[in-house]
Amino acid sequence: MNAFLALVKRDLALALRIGGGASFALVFFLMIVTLTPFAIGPDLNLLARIAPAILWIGAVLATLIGLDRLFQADAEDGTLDLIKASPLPLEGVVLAKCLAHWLTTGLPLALAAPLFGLLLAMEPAGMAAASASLLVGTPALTFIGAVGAALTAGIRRGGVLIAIMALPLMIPVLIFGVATCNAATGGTVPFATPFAILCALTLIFAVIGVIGAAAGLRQSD
Amino acid sequence: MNAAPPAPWQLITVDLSCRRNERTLFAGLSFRVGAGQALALTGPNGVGKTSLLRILAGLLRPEGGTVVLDPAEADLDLGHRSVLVGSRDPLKGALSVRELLAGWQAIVFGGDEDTLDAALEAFDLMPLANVPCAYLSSGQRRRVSLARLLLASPLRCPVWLLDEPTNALDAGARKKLAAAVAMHRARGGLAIAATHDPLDWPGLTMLDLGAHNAARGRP
Repeated sequence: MNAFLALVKRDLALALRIGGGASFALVFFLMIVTLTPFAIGPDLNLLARIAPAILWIGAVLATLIGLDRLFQADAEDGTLDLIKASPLPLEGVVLAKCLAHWLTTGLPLALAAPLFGLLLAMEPAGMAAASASLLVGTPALTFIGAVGAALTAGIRRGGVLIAIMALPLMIPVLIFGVATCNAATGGTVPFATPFAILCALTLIFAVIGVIGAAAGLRQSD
Repeated sequence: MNAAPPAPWQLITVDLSCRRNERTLFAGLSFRVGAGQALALTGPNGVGKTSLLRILAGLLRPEGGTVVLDPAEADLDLGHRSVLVGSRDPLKGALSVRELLAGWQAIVFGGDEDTLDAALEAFDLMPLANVPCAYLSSGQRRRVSLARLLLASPLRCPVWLLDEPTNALDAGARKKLAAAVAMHRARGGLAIAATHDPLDWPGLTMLDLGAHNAARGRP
C-alpha cells in the first residue's frame, strides 16, 4: 500500500513539475472548445445542442494526447525495470500510474467543464451533467489507453498506435457520455440510465485495463 | 563490527541459453557464484552480457536452462532478491537526488532515512542531495544509480547485478564502488558485473562469454 501511494505521489510530482504534462491536456481541451464557436459561427442554439459532443470529443483527444508517455518515459530510462522489482504487483503499478494520470488529466477536465460549457452556450443543467459525466467517464478513457500505452512502451512514436488501438474502445464511453449530458437537458430517457451505463463502463474498463496493461508490460521485453 | 555471518547463498545457473532476435547469444552456460564471491562477465560487444544479467534479474526469460538462488525463499522470486544496475540511469530530471532515492526506497526497497543517508554518503552524493537530476553530469548520474545498491537490504537482496558499473566513473568513485562491493561481499552478498574495464576487486572470478562460445564451437 505504501509503495502504491509512493508511486502515485512520484508520478504526480513528475507531472506537476517543469517538463511534466499536467497542464497539456487542459490547454488542448481549451483550444478545442474555444476554436469551435469561431468555426461554427453565431448560432447559439446549434452550439448549445452540440456542446456536450464537443466537450466529450475534446476530453477523448486530450486524454489520448499524453497517454503515450504513461509507460514509455519509464521504459526508456530503465525505471520500469526497477519498478518491476517492487513488491507491488504489476497490476498495482498500472493502477497507481493510471490514478496519477487521471488526477492530472481527467479530473482537471471534469472540473473545468462547467467553465468551458459557458463558451459553448450550455445551460446550467447541461454543465452540471457534463461535469458529472466527465468525472465518471474519463477514468475509463485512461484505463483503455493504458493497455495501448503498455503495449507500445518500447516503441518510439507509439502514440499513433495507441490512438488506433484505443479509439474504437473509447467510442462506447463517448456515446454514453454525450447521452448523459443530453438526458440532463431534456430528451427521452431519464438522466440515470446513460449515467449508470457510463459508470458501468468505467468499472469494466478499470478491470480490463489494469489486467491488460500489466500483461502488456510483462511481455514487453 | 560484528557483521552477520555470511549466509550460505548460492546463485546457480544450469545449462542456460539465450536467444535474441532469432540469434543464439550463448548456450550451455552453467556457473555458480557463492556468498561473498564476485564474478566479472567479459566478452566482446553483443555476446550477451547484458542479456545474461537481465535473465539473472528475472526480467528476461531464458531460452533454456534454470537460474536458482539457493536457498530459495518461497514468497520472493529472483527479481525481488537482486538489484540490477543497468547500463541506463533511471533518473528523473525534475526530481532531486534525495527525492529520487527516497522514491525508490518507498516504491521498491523499503528502508529508513538512515539507510538513505548512508547510501548518499557511500557514493559521495551528500553535496548533491538537493540538486535536480537534470543538472548532474554522467558520472554523477552513474553514482546515483549505484547508490540504490545500498538502499536494498543485503538479506533481502543478496545478489548485485552490475552492467558496466564503472562507465563514466572517475578514479575516486571507482574506489567507492569497490568499497561498497567489498562491504556487500563481507556481509554475505554476491556481485556479478558485466564489464570491459579491469576491476580491481579482490578475489574476482572471471567468466569470458566470448571464450565460452568459442569453446563450444558455434554458440
